[in-house]
Amino acid sequence: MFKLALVLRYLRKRRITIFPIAGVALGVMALVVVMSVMQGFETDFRSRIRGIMPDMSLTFYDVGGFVGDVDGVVKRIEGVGEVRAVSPYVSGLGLAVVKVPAGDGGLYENVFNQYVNFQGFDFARQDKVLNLKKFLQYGEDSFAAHPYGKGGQVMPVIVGARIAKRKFEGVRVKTTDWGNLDRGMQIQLMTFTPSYERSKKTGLIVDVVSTGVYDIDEHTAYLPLDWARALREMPANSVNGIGIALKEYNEESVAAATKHIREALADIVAPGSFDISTWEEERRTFLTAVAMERRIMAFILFFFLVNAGFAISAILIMIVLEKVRDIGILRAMGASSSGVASIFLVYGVTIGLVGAALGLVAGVTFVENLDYIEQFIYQQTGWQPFPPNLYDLPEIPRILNWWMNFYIVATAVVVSFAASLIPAVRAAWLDPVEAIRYE
Amino acid sequence: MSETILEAVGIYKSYGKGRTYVSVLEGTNLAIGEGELLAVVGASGSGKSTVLHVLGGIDTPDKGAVLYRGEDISKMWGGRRDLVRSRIFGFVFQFYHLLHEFTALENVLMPEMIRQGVLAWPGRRAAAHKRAKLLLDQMQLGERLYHKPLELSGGEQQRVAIARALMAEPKVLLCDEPTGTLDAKTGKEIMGVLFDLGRAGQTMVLVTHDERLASGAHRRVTLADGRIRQGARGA
Repeated sequence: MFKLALVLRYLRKRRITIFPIAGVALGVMALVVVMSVMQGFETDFRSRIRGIMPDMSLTFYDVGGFVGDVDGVVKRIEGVGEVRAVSPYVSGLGLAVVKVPAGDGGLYENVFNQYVNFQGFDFARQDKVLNLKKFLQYGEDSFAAHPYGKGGQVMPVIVGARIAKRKFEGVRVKTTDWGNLDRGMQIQLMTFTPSYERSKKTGLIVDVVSTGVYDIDEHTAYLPLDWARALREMPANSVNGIGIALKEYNEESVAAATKHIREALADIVAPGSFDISTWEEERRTFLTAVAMERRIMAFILFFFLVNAGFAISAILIMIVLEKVRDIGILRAMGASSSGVASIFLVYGVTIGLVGAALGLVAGVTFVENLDYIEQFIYQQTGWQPFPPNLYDLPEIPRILNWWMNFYIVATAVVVSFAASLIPAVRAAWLDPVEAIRYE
Repeated sequence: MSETILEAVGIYKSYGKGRTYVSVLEGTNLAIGEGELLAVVGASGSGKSTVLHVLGGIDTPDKGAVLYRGEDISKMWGGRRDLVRSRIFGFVFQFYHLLHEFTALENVLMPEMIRQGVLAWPGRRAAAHKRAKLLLDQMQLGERLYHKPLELSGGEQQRVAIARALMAEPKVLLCDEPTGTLDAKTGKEIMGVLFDLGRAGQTMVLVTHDERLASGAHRRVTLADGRIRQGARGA
């Protein structure tokens, strides 16, 4: 009982304890805020990539893709139990040259050019594999509905939002909500055929795709499957790959679907001519980088807590030195050395707990009011910490993961405990005789 | 002499190493009978306090044994010795050694708090408070229960220290120069308190250089050159 009584009395009487408590609170708050926002960003990025990529992709290795019974291949894959929808595609790396109409009606060629990953698909099929319409500015089957695409006379192209946002120096164009490019503007796509001959087609922009993923919005062009074949001069019975949506996306389902698709195609497609990968495998580098960034941030911010731990150690060592006489008296009255040590351990852990609790409350409050705080900073200083157009986000993403918060608090308490060990051991090892003589 | 309750047998104790080596006790033998008030006198630096610390188990001898009712407490494992110390001995120091952050009442309660765990304390609290208040009343400090040590005079602080030492109902009270820092009048008051305890049958070892205090003891011994040199029957 004496340990608790002493800890409570020391805590009440030592105002200096406020400093390590504030240190722990700041560390915990910083970790809660940064980890919540980082996880928010990561989850947001994942969901955006997830939305614009099929669960799985079957990719043919040959530069000319698969030439043969494409409908047969599609039907076989559709027949696999785990598969929900299938969309064959033709893809390639190309150069987009945008031609913007000037105010006087003239045409400015080569206003800018941009390398693109173009993909040709059947809109209806693709919309079933991934929720494509959700990402389009006009939100419709632009290939079919828009007059520029009708009749198959003109190549309709959907461009990425960041391409659409490009500024054109000296050219007066109508600005839309999403940028300077809009329906009806000319775009030329250049690429290489399977025999490495240059090929180009001019089309019209029919829509803009905005995913919020920089890489996709900066380098994407979508066009109908037949136009993509025509652009790459590939035959009508060819594809580069097949996007596959699963009924359920999990490890077992992916493994089963991969196995069953390979079995289904065994007699019509050469087994070594294609690869099946998940969206996560295709984006592994990016996803790993984002996750790594979060871990590095956590590691760096952990040193906030280590710093607070040093403050706890310093304060406790100071108190031990100040209380040498008291420790001797307690030992003389029968307090054990472990009992004396536990006074300082409990003291340190209490500092950690109080600091962590305050930091958690402050951190959660901060995260909950992040947008208000950002607005306040913006109003007061004119500086916007998270410009919405930079990340294409209406608000700062954040996820309050209570398990993560629990780990943060637990880490703070463990650090506080570790920081208290040296002073506690020092107090325990004090010779009671020497301590009593200390006057 | 009544039955021996505490005995030091051939105690050797030294401090330091090399040039700083000091041999304090060199085969000290001392026996304390139950209910006896023994005074240990000697010149400054003769090792009086060391004898008291070794007897009370807050210091260990280099050689020799400290027997409490025949059991060697000096060889006990740390935790067990702590337990013995909290149940058998009460200490009164020259400089009172009260905990300044606690009131007089809380200081007196401290030995009981040390003996009780957090869970057991609520059940013991009322009885402990009652006894602590009674002891402070007996020390004529009933009006000073909630005063901090620095708000009390030297004599009052020493009476709080005596009440604290008696709180755990010690079998042996070990007093190290209890009047050493007090003026003559206050010292006399404290002597009165201690002699009353001695008359009531409290076994006590008084380390002192105060002749008046020593002369009030049942027996006095002199410590010189690390050994008990002589013994005399007192009051």
